[in-house]
Amino acid sequence: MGRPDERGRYDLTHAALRVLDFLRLDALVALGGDGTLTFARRLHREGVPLVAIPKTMDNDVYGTDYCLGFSTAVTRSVMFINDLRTGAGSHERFLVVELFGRNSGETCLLASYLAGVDRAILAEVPFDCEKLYCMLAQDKSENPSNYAVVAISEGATTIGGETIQTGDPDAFGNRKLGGIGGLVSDYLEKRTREKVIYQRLAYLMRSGTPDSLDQLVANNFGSLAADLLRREETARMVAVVDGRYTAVPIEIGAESNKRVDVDRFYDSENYRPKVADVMGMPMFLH
Amino acid sequence: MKRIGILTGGGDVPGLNAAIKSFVWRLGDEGHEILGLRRGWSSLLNIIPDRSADNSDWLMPLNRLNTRTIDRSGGTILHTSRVNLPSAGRSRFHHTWWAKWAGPMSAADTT
Repeated sequence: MGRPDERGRYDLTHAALRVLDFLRLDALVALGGDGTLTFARRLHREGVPLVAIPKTMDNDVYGTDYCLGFSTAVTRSVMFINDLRTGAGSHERFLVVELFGRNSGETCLLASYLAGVDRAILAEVPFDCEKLYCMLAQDKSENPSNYAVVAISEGATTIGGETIQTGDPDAFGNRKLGGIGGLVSDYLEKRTREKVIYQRLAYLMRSGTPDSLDQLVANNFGSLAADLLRREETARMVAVVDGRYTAVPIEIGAESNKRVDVDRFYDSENYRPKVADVMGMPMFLH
Repeated sequence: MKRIGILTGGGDVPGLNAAIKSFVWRLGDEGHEILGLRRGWSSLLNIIPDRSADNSDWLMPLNRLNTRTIDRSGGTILHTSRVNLPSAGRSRFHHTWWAKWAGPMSAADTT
């Protein structure tokens, strides 16, 4: 008989093992991000032969340079940010664009860099609303079309503030992040008494068909996983390391978290991506 | 010949179907059997470990034919879920074969 822990939750790992045994599987392939792969590692420790394929639009699985879905998320974000410029420019307004990415600013950093936004606020660096307003006001006045754009991670926080979360915790105890862009937007409206265009890209970032890079990595991750199984090599995660396809121990993901190297790629004073001196850097800059 | 399971978990991203297809085509060539587990780890909670049970809603055998065109679209044909099996609330499994295992509801279940 199972008993709940103090939070009323049950460990159903034994159920998974029983079902896997029932299915008579020789191996299991799991495509997933941090949450999915954490349980994959648990099953691995219980003796299940596993191969993992990392996927997350946040590109935050430790042990691989690249996770499936990241390129499309950035490509789509850049496209939407640039599309939104027409409205902001025509009405001569501030544009606040909030991006998915949970507590990682990776997507926001890359999209901001590529879309050439005026300012970027990352989940990793708490910001000051008044300071951001002053910068944007200057950006707007210097722009011949009289508008300014700020991109902001859904997990961003003001200095001394907390992340904005809504709803009940999901299966992993995470509540929905997001709404910090609304806070910034309200602040800008109060400060300027002008309307602000506020858009959450949210699910649009991860929707639709893969771009060429994701299609390429998907095809290669899939066939790499097949090759590993053919050689009976399990307990591996397919990966890209130093720009090359490879396989790493499945346990590597437990070692650390992957976050933007803030000092290196972000100007925390001016709220801007700082990408210079790329000689020798990995393709995705981290 | 081997029997391999495959599943997708967490949020969907574009490219999952392409990865599934290339996996199936590369391995299926050698006559291996590939079984798609539907809706991520949730499948392992909902598949009934009984030969006489109908588990067809949770299993999807994959082959060259039924994966031929899936790489052209995003999402995941296997569907996905966000369930954390080592720490699952009762609502996650009260409708499954495992409800009996947890016994009658206790005070902790309602917190």
